[in-house]
Amino acid sequence: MIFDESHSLNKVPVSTMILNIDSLKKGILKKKKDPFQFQSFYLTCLHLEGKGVLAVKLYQVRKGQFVYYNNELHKVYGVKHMYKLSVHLLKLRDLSQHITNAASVEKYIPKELDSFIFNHKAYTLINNRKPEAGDYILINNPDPDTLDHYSLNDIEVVEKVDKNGIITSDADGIKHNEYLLMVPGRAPDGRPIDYQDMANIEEDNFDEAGQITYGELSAKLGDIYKNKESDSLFEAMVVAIKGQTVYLGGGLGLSQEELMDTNKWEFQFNPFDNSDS
Amino acid sequence: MDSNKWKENSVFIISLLLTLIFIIWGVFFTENLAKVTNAVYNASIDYLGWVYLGATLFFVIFSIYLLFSKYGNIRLGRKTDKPDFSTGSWLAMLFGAGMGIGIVYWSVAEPVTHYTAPPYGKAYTAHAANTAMKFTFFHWGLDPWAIYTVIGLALAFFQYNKRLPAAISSAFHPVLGDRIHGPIGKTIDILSIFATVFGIATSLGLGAMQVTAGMHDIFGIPNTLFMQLVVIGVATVLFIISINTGLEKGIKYLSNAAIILSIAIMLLILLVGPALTVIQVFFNTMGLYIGDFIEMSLRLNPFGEGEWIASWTLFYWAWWIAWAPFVGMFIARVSKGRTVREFVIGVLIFPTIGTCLWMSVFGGSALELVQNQANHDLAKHIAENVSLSIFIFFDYLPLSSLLSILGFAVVAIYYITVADTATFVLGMLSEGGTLNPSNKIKMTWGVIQSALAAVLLTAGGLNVLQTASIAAALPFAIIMVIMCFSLLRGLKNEAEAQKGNKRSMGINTTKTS
Repeated sequence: MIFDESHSLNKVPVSTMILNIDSLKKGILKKKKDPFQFQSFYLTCLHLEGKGVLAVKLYQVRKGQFVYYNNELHKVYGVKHMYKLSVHLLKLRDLSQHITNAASVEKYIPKELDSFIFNHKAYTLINNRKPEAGDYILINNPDPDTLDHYSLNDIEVVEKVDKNGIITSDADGIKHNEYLLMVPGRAPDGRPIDYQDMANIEEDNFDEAGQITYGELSAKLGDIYKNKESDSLFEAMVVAIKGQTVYLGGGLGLSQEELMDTNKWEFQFNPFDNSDS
Repeated sequence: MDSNKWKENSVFIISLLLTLIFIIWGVFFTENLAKVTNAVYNASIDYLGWVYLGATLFFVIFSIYLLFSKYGNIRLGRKTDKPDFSTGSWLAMLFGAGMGIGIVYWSVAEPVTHYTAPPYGKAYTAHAANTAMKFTFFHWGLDPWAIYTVIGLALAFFQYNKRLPAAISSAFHPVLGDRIHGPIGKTIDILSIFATVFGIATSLGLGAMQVTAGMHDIFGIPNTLFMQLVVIGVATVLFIISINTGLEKGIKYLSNAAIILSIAIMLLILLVGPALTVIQVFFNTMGLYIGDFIEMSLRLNPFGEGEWIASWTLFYWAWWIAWAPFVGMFIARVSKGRTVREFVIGVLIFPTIGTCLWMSVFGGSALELVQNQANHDLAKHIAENVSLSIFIFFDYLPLSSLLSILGFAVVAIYYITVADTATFVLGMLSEGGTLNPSNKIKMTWGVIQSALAAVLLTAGGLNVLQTASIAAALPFAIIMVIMCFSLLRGLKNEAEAQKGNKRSMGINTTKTS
């Protein structure tokens, strides 16, 4: 059990429990572990003065949930119960990995017309359009058949569409009521959900289309990119960065934005980068 | 429009009609059905025995060849795919899927029955006990798992590497080309569904007998045919509810629970039972099994009575083959991201050791009870009440009521999970291999498989169940032999394609490492 007194009641708990302090001391409330649900309960306790009673806030973090962490949108990809930093996160914007505890994340349930950046590209969640092969979907309402194994908020690529549902490239059969379609770009009536608290984000981070500029997403030395517009194989390494201009091996110079356009260039790997995060 | 619909649903409609004709036959002409199945049973001894024996031995040799072949490094799925499950839970799932109800049903009954009526030699002797264990290993060892390896690998390979539908006909793509979508492919699918329905009905029939026996032992409910039919009815209602309410997830937890419970029972028996004998039985029988493998595999007894071989070896081979599309589909689904070599080790070698261990624990302890303590009446009693056997055995162990309740729970859970998964697999097979079978078709198969199990039980119980699967599996056995060659050709093409692709493969491997 993790007792974190620094958090106050302005967090929205999944449920709130008031317990007698003695029963807590005896250890009646124990951390729950459910190997199948990948969930973790965390308790944040506050002393209510003079009453000998604890107000316990119960956060339930499950694999797949969308959460805000450091004000940015992440997805929980794993929960390791035994550790203090038990919540493993994937930042949707750039798919980088982060690790934290349950008390510092805030759950968010993605809805229709929410827009967010997934792997450097903006998408809007749409419900009423038929998907086509190659589209991304967000499985927001999973109801897997006995032999399927996808889970909450998995993002998969459509391979085939039939009347009952779609088949993804991971060979999962997903019925039409289980997912939202991720349409590239930000719909004009959509809500960007990349940040929990929009007020703190400087306006100039958005360009006219509502696209967030790249900032820390910039290319690193040694990154290898593949040109997707070229017919023959064309891969190049970032050999120099000067301000907003990136130089690729072979003397090609181009702007950061151009390199980050996933329609033109696709990041392959960085041979010097061994860190996980 | 109508002709399109017929084209889409022809596999479903024809296989449904075939099964329905069989059910109507069973309901209205029960005696005739029993007579005909009896004739088929006798004919199977005389004419079909060698087909089953030859085909199954071929599958074992073929699987072992794949294990050591150059195709071992081919990954099922894309080269970057990672397995969906950890190796431990993958092995546990394979074990649970392949054996299910049968392993609980037969684990005490089979060795003891062989002991009282051995294939050769004198009954009720130490020699008979060893022979009994040897044949139990044989029936539950490499052969069933080789059958599952072949079909599971074929399904997984053509589904994940060739992106074909999850149907049996897809495995014939290298041989038939696009004709897999035409009449030949549909005939293959219909035959595979026909075999599968009978394989599942056999298991459900055995399961219903076992559940009723368990209720008789624990709650004193009469062990009658009527109660068995009630069990089938109740289970049908339960899994139809689960199909319609999204309880599928619950079924998944139940099947995990069944695997954990069965391992718990095995360990418990090892603790309270004669552990030393069990270990000795495991080692000794392993030696006998490996030593006499070829002899047992081809044993037909041409100048004597073939009864024993037909009611045991042939029945098992046919049942495994009839079961194979169902298990193969499951195995394929959980094995994406494994290499061919990993697959063969995981599906052929490990489960074989697992089942042999299981059989040593149950069979070894039971034989210790009847042989070393010279309790021949008990042996006779068990052999005469096959479906009660495991509960009779539990009564002679400490903690017997706990073991009985656990055993009953495992059988009941296996029954419901098998019935539920079967509807899904039959739905997939009959809708051209779609991964989204419609609920209507799933429910139709749910009712049909239960009805078939009920009809077979009414027509004559265990014998009719056995005979029906021997007859229904024969065409599919031949289909599976051809499937091996098709799979081999597919693997060869894949290996050549990968060779030509070395450059892009190099990049991929660096990226993932």
